[in-house]
Amino acid sequence: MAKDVQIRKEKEKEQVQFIRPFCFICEEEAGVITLKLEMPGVTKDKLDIDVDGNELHVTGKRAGTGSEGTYLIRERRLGTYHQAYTLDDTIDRNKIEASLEGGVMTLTLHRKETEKPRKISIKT
Amino acid sequence: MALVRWYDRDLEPVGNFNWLQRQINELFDFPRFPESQGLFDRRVSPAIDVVEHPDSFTVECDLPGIDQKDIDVSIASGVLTIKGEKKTEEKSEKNKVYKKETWEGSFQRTVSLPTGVDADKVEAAFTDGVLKITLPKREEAKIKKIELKAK
Repeated sequence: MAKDVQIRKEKEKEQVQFIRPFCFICEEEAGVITLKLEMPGVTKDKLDIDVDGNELHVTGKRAGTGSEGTYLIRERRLGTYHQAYTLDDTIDRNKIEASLEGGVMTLTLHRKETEKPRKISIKT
Repeated sequence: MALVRWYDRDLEPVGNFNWLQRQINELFDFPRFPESQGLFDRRVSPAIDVVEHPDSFTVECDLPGIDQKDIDVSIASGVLTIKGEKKTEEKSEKNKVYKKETWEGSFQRTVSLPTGVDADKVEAAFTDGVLKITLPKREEAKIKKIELKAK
């Protein structure tokens, strides 16, 4: 038991500290889900979006990692952004669109056609 | 006169520890840095970095999702002000919002600048949601190296 905890702690030490970006998730119209992640300082070529089975991974690396000189005020956290989401079965994996503008990444996810609400008419 | 519970610090060892803790905490309260929160700052004041270089200062500020035209940077009597508004086009009444960690609305941040900044040569750039302001030092404020003459 104690050894398990020790191993886990050692693993945690090795891992890079990621910054979790602020998110905004909403469904504007039925079946279209917009996911926005605020990642200031991330350029298009430093952004990775992977769909691995049920998992969606977003990793963004900042262009600058601090500047040389004396910090008088230091409030920003510079590093690598990372966030993972679990996609459920209703999301169409092949219809994910991504864009990056002004430090905000926008992902548009679509629900599968079969999962969309539909009206069943009653035959007379 | 209000009745106060009788309390003798000498008789209570825990109280002594609390007093010591307070004394130590007060040591860290002295202002080492220029004031980072101004008087007129709004509720939302974005995080900034102020870095001193040999011949300039740089102020960097994270402003993701904000239009360049909505950002207003000004300097008046040694105080740098970054203000603006973050607009969102979505109407949240119609939307079904699952999670919202972002903020919107107006923001303001003021920083009192160190002396020796040349206010006429200040440059600001906005790329990928990061605002970078370069404030060059005046000639007399720059570090001068004095060469030693050998006799």
